[in-house]
Amino acid sequence: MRRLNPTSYFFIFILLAMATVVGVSLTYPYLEVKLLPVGIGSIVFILAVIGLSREVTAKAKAQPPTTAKGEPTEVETKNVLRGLSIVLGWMIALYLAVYLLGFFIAIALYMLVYLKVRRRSWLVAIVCAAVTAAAIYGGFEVLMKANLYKGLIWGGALETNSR
Amino acid sequence: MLEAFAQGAATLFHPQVLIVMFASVFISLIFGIIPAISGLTAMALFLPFVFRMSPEVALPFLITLPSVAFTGGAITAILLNIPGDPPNAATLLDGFPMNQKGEGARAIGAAIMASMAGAVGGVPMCLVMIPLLMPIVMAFKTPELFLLTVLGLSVLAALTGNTVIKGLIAGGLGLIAAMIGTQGSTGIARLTFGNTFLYDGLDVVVITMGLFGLPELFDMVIQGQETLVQAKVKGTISDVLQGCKDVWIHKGIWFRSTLIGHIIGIIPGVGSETSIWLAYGQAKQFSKHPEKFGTGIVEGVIAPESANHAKAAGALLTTMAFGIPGSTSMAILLGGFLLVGVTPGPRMMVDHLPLAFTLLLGVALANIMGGVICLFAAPYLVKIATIHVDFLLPSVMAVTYVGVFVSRNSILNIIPLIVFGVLGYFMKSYDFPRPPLIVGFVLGELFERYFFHSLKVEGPFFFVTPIGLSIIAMTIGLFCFPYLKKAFARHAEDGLKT
Repeated sequence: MRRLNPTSYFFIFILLAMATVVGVSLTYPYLEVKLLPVGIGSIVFILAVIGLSREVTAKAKAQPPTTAKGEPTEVETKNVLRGLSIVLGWMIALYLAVYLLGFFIAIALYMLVYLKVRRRSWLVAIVCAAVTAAAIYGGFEVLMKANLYKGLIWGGALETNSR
Repeated sequence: MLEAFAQGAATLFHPQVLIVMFASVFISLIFGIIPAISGLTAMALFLPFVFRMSPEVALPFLITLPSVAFTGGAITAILLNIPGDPPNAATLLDGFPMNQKGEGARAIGAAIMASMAGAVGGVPMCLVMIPLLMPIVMAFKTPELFLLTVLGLSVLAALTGNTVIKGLIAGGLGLIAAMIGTQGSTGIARLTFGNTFLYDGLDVVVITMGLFGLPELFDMVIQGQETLVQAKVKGTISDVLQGCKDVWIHKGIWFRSTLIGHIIGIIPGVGSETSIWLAYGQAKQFSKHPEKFGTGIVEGVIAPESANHAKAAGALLTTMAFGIPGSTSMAILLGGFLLVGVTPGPRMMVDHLPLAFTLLLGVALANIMGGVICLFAAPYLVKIATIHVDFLLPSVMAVTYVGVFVSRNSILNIIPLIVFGVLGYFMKSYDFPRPPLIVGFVLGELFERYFFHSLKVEGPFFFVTPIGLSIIAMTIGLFCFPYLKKAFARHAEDGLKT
């Protein structure tokens, strides 16, 4: 069986997403509510089908894909996915840290840990952590008068009404 | 009209506006100089800052970011042989060889002066056009406004990226994203899947930051960007001044390039790259020594920089007058307009004419500010390009998270940011243009409102008006254009073979 390339998988993701949008929208009671999501969702679905079929047929005609270095794209894709999961891991870690500890502590801690993982010296890591936290405080709390989230541990609410 | 112009100019020179613009110029130069990120990233990251500002302060701040970043990008192109922003690519052809020959300071002087002169030159051309545009925009009613929204969506979908299909899909995804939340006329929650957080809809800040801020960060880590080589400016301050004088010595090149940039800027979707290469090409064509282009001559720096900066005012005019963003930066600016409560399009030229003048004059002023800063600080600013990704990634991520929180005062707002960041990264990787998604999202609400209003007031054939049919013809032409271009190219190729 022929293997699909990453773009084809992306088209399949769009197809599934649009099928969900159309399916859910059809359940709405008024025409005003469902007309546009059903219409646009269907158009995007059809376009994705065309895109996917083009992608599959183009791939069938083409030679086995390799990168500029001669490395198979499969290896490159694995590297990309590995890199992406590392960044996402850092992002989710920061989110959880913010959720629990609030912005200032989480950001300072995040900066410190990140720079230490990247093998920077303690001095550089501490200075950068302090400067970033201070800049966030100065820019947002003082200048913009924003009431930043304080963290679940310190009793912060998920949504505040102080806009 | 003159009164609006005076009012707009007075607003621009208000101390608060000047301070904000000065800060924006600095931010923009820094983002322009760092090769991995651009003025667009700056626009995406700083969108939450405009929330609490008035439109008169917020919009000059935003428009400055993409306008001045190219000046910073020209410096890295000349000194490091790396275009800070993609439209600086033509500048390095002659800029970098000039630096190698010991004329780096002269090249920087010429690039800065050409940028300033190009931006300033583009503004009067726009000011002349406003009185001509007014009768046209006054003739637009709801059906025409709806069709204009369709045209605005189609422009970026059809003209950006390699295939029309991917552009249209991106535009459609933007429209679907705009429909998430409570539907205006019925109050029914749509596509929220029972999640109360989504009842207010998605946030333009989240989508912009996710699509344009995060994928650049992902790329930095995945590609493992290394520290850049420390650059040295070869030359003295008198060489910088000589570079400035060169622009006036070659004023013909400046004028033609500015005109090209302005015209390309007004036409939506053509892009900066076209204007810089067209300007470079004409400078070479009109030159007495075309063979010297690419070896390090000042004319090769003046032409692309003038064109690149002249297009900003033209693109802004099209965005404001018709709500049609011709480029990615204008698509993000469109989001900024809505964020501060200004609806771009024909009504803006009627309701907010002084603001339109403020923004057009702001483009010129921002470039003058940026140019003056660069003239004195270029050797120091270029050191920013050597900043390591280790410092860039966590600090930008921290600012992004805080910015997204501030835009809605909700920590839950970070979740769609991550989702759109991943979506943006895959779109970028698989060659799906991202600007149509932003435009679709920004224009989505107007699209729905104008559509149902037109249907109720004018009936199902609301589009049968002279202006409406003209817009439809333009939209169809837009989709045919890429295919016609391919057909012409194939025909020309066959002709050459036979």
